Amino acid sequence: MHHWEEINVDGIFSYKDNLKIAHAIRAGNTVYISGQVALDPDGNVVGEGDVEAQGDYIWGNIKKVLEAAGASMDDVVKGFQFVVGADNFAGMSRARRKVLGEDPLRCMTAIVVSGLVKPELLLEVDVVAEIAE
Amino acid sequence: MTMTQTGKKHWTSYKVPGIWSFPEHQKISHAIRVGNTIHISGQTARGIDGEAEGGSDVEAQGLAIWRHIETILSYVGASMDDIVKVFQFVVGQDNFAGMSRARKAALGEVRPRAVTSIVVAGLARPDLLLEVDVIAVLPD
Repeated sequence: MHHWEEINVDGIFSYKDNLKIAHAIRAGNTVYISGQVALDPDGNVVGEGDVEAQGDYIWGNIKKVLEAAGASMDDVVKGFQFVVGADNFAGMSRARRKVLGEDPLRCMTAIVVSGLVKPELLLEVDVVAEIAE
Repeated sequence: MTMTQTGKKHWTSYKVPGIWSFPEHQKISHAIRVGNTIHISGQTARGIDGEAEGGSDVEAQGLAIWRHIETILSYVGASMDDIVKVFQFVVGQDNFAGMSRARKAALGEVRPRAVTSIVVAGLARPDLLLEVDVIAVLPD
């Protein structure tokens, strides 16, 4: 038994087993998730060409992963957003505000990148959550 | 103290006076303290008026950023000495050296920290050359 726990969720795209990447790790009350992108369980891109649609899909998956880890969106303390194309900043933020648009404020770091794992992907989001004792 | 607490939370979210922040509707804080750990939002050289401090000089932007980080940490009760991890996102490979000079000026060269640095395609605005994000841990 490790002092941390691997979290994997059915119905969310997962890298092939030989890559050894979990959806999330829970260590104590802290949950770290792997960066999520808009790929369906078969690896097809969701919301091609539409960063907000990709963001909606991604945040939906983040919610599922957090719930599987015993956390909720309420527990998110920090997010990293990696977006392809400076023009996609606004759509990225609209998707985030649909799920994290209320108080309390969260920490967020957002960066424009040159690319993600597939050329059709416009956004990757990563969060840290802290579960109450 | 400006806190944006909604009560019964096990962590505390801070907005720090004098530091530029995204518009209220974005719901982005400057820092969150949970236990002894402090997370911050990535900081850029934007002054309180929203304009980049340091012009197009990455080192000058970096020095402004590190001043902002020091102000944020101090507001939350931490210091630069409590920083354990640094993420640096820089626009342009040529700006790596200037970015590092600013960090060393701010953190000193004596005590190493964990540092991850990435060249990125851009930041929130084209005049911003650097974004820095840290994790700090307070003593018990």
